[in-house]
Amino acid sequence: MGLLAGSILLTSCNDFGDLNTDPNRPSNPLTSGLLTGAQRSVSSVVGDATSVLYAQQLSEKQYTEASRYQTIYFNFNDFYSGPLMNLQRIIELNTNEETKGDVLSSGSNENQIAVARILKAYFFATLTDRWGELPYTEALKGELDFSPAYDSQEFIYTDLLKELKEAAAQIDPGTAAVEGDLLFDGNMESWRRFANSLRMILALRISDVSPQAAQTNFTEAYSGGILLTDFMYPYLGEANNQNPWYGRYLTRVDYAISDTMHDYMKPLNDPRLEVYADTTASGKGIVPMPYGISNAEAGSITNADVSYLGMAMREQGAELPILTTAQLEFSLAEAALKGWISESAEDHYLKAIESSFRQYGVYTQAGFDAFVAQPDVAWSDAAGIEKIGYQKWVALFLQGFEAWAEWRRLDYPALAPATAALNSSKEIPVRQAYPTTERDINTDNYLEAVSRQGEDGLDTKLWWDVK
Amino acid sequence: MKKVLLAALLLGCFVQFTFAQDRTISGTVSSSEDGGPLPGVSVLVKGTTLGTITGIDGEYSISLPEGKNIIQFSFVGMVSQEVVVAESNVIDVTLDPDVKALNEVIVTALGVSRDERSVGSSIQSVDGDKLSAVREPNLVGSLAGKVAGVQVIGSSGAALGGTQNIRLRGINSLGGGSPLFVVDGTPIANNSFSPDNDGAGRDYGNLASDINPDDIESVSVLKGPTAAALYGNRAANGVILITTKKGNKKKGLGVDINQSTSFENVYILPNYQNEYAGGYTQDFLTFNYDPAIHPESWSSFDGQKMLNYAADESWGPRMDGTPVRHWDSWLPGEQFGELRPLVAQPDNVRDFFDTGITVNTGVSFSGGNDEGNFRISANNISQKGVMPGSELTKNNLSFNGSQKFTDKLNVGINFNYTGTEGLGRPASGYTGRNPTNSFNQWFQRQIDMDRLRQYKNPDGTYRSWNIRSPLDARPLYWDNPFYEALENAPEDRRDRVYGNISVGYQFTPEFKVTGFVRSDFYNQKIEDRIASGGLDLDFYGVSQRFGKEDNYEILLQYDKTFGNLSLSATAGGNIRKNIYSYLYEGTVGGLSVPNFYNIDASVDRPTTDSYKQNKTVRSVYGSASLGYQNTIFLDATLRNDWSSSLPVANNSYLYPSIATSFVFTELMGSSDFLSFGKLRLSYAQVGSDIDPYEIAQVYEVGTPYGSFPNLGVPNTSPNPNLKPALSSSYEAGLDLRFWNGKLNLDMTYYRNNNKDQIMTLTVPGSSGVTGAIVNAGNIRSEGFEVSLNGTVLEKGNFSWDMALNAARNTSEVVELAAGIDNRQLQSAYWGMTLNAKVGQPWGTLIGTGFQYAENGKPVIDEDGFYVQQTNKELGTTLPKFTGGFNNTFRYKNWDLTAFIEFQGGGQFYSVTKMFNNYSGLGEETAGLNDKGNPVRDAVADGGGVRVDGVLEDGTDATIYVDAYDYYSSLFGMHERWIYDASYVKFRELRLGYSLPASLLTKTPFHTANIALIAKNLWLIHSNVEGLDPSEFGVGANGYAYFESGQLPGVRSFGFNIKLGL
Repeated sequence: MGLLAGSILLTSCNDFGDLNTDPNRPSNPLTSGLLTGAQRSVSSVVGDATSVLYAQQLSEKQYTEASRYQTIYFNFNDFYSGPLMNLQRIIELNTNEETKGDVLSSGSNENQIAVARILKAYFFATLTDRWGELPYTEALKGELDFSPAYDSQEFIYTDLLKELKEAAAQIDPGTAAVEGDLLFDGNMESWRRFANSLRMILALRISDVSPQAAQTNFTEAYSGGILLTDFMYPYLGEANNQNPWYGRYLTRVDYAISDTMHDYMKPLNDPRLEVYADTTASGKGIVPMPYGISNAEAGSITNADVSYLGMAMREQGAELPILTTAQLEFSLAEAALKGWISESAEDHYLKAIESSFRQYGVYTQAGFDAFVAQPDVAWSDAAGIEKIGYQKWVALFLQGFEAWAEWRRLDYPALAPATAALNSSKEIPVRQAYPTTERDINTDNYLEAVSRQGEDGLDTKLWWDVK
Repeated sequence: MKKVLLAALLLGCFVQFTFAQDRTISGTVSSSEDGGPLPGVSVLVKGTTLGTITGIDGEYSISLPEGKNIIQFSFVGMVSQEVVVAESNVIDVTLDPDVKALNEVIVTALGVSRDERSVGSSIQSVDGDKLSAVREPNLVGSLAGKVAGVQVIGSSGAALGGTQNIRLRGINSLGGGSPLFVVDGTPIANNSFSPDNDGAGRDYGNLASDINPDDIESVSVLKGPTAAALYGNRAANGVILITTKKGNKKKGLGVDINQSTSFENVYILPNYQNEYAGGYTQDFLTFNYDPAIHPESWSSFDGQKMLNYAADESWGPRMDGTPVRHWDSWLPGEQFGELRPLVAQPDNVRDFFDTGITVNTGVSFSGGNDEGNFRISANNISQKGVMPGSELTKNNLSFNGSQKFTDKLNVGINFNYTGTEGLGRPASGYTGRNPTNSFNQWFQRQIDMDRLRQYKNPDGTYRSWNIRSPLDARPLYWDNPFYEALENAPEDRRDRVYGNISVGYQFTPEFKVTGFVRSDFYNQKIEDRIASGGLDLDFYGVSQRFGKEDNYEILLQYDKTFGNLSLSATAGGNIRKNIYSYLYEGTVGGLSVPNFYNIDASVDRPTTDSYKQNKTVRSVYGSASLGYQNTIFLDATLRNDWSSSLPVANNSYLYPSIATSFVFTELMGSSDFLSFGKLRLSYAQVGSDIDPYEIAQVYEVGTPYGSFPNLGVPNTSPNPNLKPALSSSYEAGLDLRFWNGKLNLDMTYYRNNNKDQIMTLTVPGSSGVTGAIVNAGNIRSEGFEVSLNGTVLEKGNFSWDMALNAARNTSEVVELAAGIDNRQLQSAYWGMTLNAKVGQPWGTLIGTGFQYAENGKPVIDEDGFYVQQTNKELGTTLPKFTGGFNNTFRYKNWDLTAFIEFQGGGQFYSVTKMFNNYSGLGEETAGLNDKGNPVRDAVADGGGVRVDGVLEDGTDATIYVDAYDYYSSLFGMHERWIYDASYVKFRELRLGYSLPASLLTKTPFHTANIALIAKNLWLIHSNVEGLDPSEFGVGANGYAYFESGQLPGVRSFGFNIKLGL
């Protein structure tokens, strides 16, 4: 009886108005904000430490496990659910007829889509160079596909090159530039040149396995116009957007110049060494830290007796390279050596070293001339790849993923694995293993990828790494 | 109070007149329960119709006719007595409660008091005075082991008011879930302000700890959906129903004073090795004087032996008395330049902690008459913790009153205020903020704690043992623990008010309508800081949380007896409104003015968070209970909820319950052996909803870049099609009482199916989201509870009462979403995960383990290191059984209570143990190996850890591995650090003495009791040395499957004085 009365009294019980509208998070997407969010994640690529250790540019000071390849499984979920999903959403919102008119305050639809495609390609290129096969075509579909299948690295590379080509062409300087662009501040021409430059780098990466496609893409991209200045991530002098190396040194002193790097640069009197490394606290000049030794051995070395990462590289607002002209020049030197372009390999090689000197503010005509005159540096066609390998490795300082990828491709410099390696093969990793969530909850697709690609460990070579 | 009511009822029934003849007998009838007078007791001369009833003071006077000499005393709910009249004309009688009659009322859903015999589901009740013999300040903590099926996941006393999590009948939702707390009908929040997920941070306790235990009359635990169905969507995990004390007429002024003072000391710490000092190798470092960098005055130090101060491990030189430069010998002060012998400091960690003091004082005033009653209480708890500098103050005020304005109109009010102020609540978990984390995981064993006590240099900079080098005294990884405790002390304050106002109108004796307005709100402010000059950037952060729940409720009650049939029906409606807001600001980039703890000091743009949440649930419900001949009862309830957080199409949901109770002894006739027997059967459903804002697509606002806003697609995809989750529960129980209630046995079997769980499914991140909210799955909890209590022995002045309860529960993950057979619930440090895996008990531990060969030995490589197997199931977190055993002995005025709590089974992962050994602090890393050589000596010299295993080619091998390398290799080898969580704990001991009435006659007191109390007296049994498995209450969700940097166990001794005026 009471229940009945109650029911009658409360007939409109299920109407709560807008009570369940979230006051804490906007439902209206500002695509410029999504772009800023995605671009901030570029920092996790250019500020990565593990890859810098793999490339033996730095050594860990006391707890040396990362230098000794302890971690096998690396997480890529944050890239997908973070920047890639933001970029995907930008593309969708600018494509969907219902929403494309609502997002024009952040730039023209074409320009927003183009920038999102370029950045997507940038992130996917980094990811595939770490893990190999990846969920790609079926990825980023949210609730429409919770078990995305993997695509081969060959497929991914082919598509990335196509994306970069199309995105460069899609940029329309006559329409509104993108907003929220902390990397190029809405300079659409720079985006076009970055797309071409990145396409060149990616093309070269597959040159050993797919030389024809590599050459075509490389030369097309080159002729389209590439970056003329170093493309840097602009950290700010404030804690929310600071250089990650600055943050790492706030409470600890974990990273010192490696003996591998030091012992190559020092005999050549490379002026960059004084930028790369500080002098020791105990006033002993630049003293490297042996790479890959055990914690006990490392811990027995007095902290004041080793040289840490150069202060200029780890100031709070210090920029870090995303893609440099030195990198492009080395690529052109290699292309010339391969006969892809009819320019002088030596010129590009010297230009690359010069660019790198300028990047680190150590360029003087006399110093440069003396440096490149040394027999170990001076160009020779016969040892071209080796020369490029070593000098590119030095130039790619702190560009860990790129340095590690190019070491895998060129097999220079000659690196010896960590003496106290913790991984089972005791070899330098040539890839990283998938996050365990893939194994556990995307199992079928994961197993299929592993059966194609090979064991999910640190020692399985990627598709493009055939040498 | 119920006696007063019964007396009033009975007044009208016994209209017996006495005829004055011969001899007049008079006296007082009192209750054996509390010694208080019993009004309304029927006094009858046997074999006559002559009788009277006792007055309000329990006194009677009756004429005894010639030839009659037996007087009968009887009272509802008490055992009748016959007294043979001898010489004396004064006969005082004490009546005992009649357990057999079972007229005990218990508080059931909606606060309705019911005859226990009519209740068809499992409700276990604990009287307020039996909750804790040692004045445990947190109600949740005092329920541990007292009620079958309750599992309390406690926290160390060192946490000072830390969170105590509670589970009822295992796990009934994927995310765990805790019961609803209801005080006098008012649902109150029991959020926990403790670090989530990785468990690192400070624990500000759970909100239910705001209840003053001295105010509690009784606690009814409504264990399953059956009992709780009427409480709706939050009751799927049961209800803790608290009834507070009300005023009544009593002897004396009605003033009670309860004071206790206790002293706490650290008593559980890992066993440390005391042979080797800090460092990585057994060789001393040597100071080499270098005029280029060292002051000239240091030249005499050349060649002195040094320790490796930068190491935060203890694999260093033997502590053999060699004179060395200790860390502080490089710091300014008179000890500069000192060489001191390197000797063991076995008690250095213990020396860090203080003796805690808890002073708990409560006073209450109560009174009443026929028209109304009131009770006012005030309580103060002042605590100084074992962590240096930690303090906690808690003040309670409460008022309970009711007044009859007419015979029919009754108005009641219940008001409770709690103010809590904390200073320096210790951090736990794997964080630099937690000194225990350092002591047990990253430390040097030779450190003399007294030399750290002076943690400031004369110039105000801080001193740490972990200096970088003689020239650079800045700390490398660890600040001084005293700096940590004293300079980085957070402050917190919480004000909490809850209570209700009710107006009831009794239209007819059968029909009553009551309206309630209920509210519960709190305001919690936490200020966190890191002092300038330490290892970490200085910092100030302040958070303010406000939570409020209002309930507007109307309740219609109808009770009527028709011959053999009794009917009790209720109908009600409720509107619940929840508001929650959270504001946070934290400095970024340091403090612009050192030690200026203010947001204005933020060097960079401060981080901010402003969050608010609104939710409304509307409900109607009703119940009917039919009884036949007081023997068979049938209960049914129905409730419909409308929740604002569900999609409009699915936001209405209806669920029923049905229960039956059958007192079979009424039919078979009771015997002396089996005096009472009851069978219970029930079935219920409870629907649950979700938190607000989970059904529509929104965007996360991230940290901006300069003036560019930063948005992100949330990592969890919303679901516009969610529907309520449904738990169904079956329950059967048997309640048996033997020998007139001398022994009571209660058994319950239950089975809950928790279907269509609303869960955030972990999905492959490559989909672009990492979680999806879905309705899916089924978790089935099944179990058996038994409680046995009674009087073991009663002889003269001596009695021995005991209560034993135990429960066995399994919570199985029957089903998850389609195609998903495992869901990771949480990930602990270094890859150990907690999972819900289909076909397994909830809480599967998965991590890296040993690979075993067919002969059971571990597979090792040629260097003797274990071959790892990843993704291995390593155990399950839920205990197999839980329970408690309480004994109370009374002899004359003495009483002794000893309470033991136990848990069997369940596993956990210990990060403390892993690093305790990794860093060479643990006892097992030192000593001799099986060859009789120091285990830390080089393998070539006969040292090393013996490893027996099987090589990968299948051959058995015994290899000695360098101790440092051996323990390093066990990092991340989770299986090695999984322990059994069984324990037997002597939680409470009380020895009390009640001053005899003769001594009190000259004092204003009518009762006085003094007692010695001891808490956490002894961890009688545990399978893990140095840790207390009952105190893993870190983490707001209470998963309790791992510990890292657990605070040390604390034991307390004290005394308690209770006075009644």
